[in-house]
Amino acid sequence: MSPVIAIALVSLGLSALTFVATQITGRRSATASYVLRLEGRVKDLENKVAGLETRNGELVDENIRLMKQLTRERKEGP
Amino acid sequence: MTLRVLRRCLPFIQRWRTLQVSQAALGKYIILFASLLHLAWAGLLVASAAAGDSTPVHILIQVFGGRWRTAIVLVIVSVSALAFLFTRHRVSSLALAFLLVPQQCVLLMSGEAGIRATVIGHYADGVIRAWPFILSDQMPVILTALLYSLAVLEASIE
Repeated sequence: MSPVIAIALVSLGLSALTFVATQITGRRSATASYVLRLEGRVKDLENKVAGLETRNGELVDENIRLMKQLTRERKEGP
Repeated sequence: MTLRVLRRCLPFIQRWRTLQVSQAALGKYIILFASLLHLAWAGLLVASAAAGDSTPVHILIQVFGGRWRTAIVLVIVSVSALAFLFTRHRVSSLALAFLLVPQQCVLLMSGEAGIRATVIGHYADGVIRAWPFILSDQMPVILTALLYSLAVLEASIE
């Protein structure tokens, strides 16, 4: 085999390996960034749920207060 | 013994991973350097056939079959690599590979020609020199080929 062909073949082989490696790392990287985006979304939703739970607690307290007030007004009259 | 050496090297390796000279990644400068080098080689090949006798270019002329074809190939691989630099965040990993791998292949050919010249003890034009002389002369192209390969892999990681 002539040295020129050998050099060309080795270069092509190494380039092909790099090509495959870029596809693998690119896919992994895309998956990793997708997972990161999902984690961010989950965090947002958790914050939203926490906010809603707080608001729910406030509304329950308000409801109890109004029920007590209503009961008192019915007993005492308007 | 080996473990002790590794333990001592570990802080340096950890520092190297986070080391950067500027805010920008350095891979783009390697790609830019390779593109400018190939454009310069193409220009010199068009200007004079004598440029084709240098070891890194001679192998390309033999592979691509003539200095005009080589000049055209060099311009194409340079332009595609430069195009990658300006479309970095819009291309897929497949497009990235198609834009950068051709230039890497050309660089590897030049680097391997430099290694072969070192091993056989003479340049492509037949000038005989001591192997350390040839190796020190060809080292920039060889290292550029290696660093370019790393830059391509680095570029594929988001």
